[in-house]
Amino acid sequence: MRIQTTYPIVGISACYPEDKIDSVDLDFSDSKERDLFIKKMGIRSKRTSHGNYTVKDLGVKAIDHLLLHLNWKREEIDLLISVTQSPDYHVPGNSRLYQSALGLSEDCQFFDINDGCNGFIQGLQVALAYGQVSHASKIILVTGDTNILTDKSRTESYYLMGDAVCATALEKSSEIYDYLFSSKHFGTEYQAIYSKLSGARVIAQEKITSLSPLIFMDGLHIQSFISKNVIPQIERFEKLTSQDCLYRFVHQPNLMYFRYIVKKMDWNEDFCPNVLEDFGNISSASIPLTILRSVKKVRQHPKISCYSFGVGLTFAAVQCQLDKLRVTIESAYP
Amino acid sequence: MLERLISILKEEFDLSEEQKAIHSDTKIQEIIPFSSLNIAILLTSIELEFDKTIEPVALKKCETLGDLIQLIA
Repeated sequence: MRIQTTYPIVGISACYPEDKIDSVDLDFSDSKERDLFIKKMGIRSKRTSHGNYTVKDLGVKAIDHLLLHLNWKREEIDLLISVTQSPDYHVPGNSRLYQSALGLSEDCQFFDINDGCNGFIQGLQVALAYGQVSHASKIILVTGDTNILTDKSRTESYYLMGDAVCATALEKSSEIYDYLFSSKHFGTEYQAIYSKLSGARVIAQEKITSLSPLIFMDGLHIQSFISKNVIPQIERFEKLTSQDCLYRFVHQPNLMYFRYIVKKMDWNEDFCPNVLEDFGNISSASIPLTILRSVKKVRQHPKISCYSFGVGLTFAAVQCQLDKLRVTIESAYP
Repeated sequence: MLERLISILKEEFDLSEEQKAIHSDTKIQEIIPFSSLNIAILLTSIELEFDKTIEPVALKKCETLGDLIQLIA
């Protein structure tokens, strides 16, 4: 889907916990198993809130810094979209918590999207489409998760996931920008990443009243999904899009799967940056944070392609220009 | 094909010296226990090296490296 819009991305702000967990300190049964995990997953350390603060806490700081550096007033925000799979509450969604914490206008429009690793591209697509019909002037997209809902009994999944939230700003301009999107949804495979005991169905059918929000992830199913669905979808998108983009930003579930995609696509890894070593798998914050950390490269070659996949199961891609990206800022939550 | 597979296993799993006498009758789980991580590494490596997609359940049914070679071939 081609979206011709007047909204370029003008800023990206990331906020993550100050505290780190080094992978060498993780509790593996033996050092060989630990070393293999570090080698194949590519994660030296990751950021963790230790459950002391939430997506909203990180998101408020990311938004606050973004507004400050863009010199935007809070009352100027017309649209805020929050994407997370670890919201502070089941109801209401985090977008209203951002409104409350930041004092955003009652006329601002708020949307919540329940999504994980695919959330940045999905959220961007919704932000652009709604922005275009509502004539919003200034838009904020907030994406990310904290690891508190990953099932700790699934050790490898738990050790992969890190905490980070990104806020992305889009601003109405007089120029037209081309965004080419593709998304595919494979709902029959929803149980591969699944919060089985978390919703109304459990209470209605199982008569269980103590719910568990923990998310189960079937890593081997994801491996198969990447091979059978993600690679063909990337190949299809690459044929449809302009080949003059140098940098590709691919969601990073772990180094092994990331490199698998890069090798299968015959891409040069030098032009596919990743932040796994310092952050682990950071869900829907992985693409914006990687762009942020590659900003010098992006400024030289602003046409980029992004690819993500995850809970659903889903796949999404976008090709766009980042030549109006003027603010990039990182902050750590103490 | 067996030599290529053994070479992958040695490289990917950093197999120790005593484990390096590997042949087609070697039981896979004696050198690589079927943890989720190990299976994912095996499947990913096999697909990249041999361009062959194998389902985890099919891999788990393989007892020896010879069985795995038959699956890849």
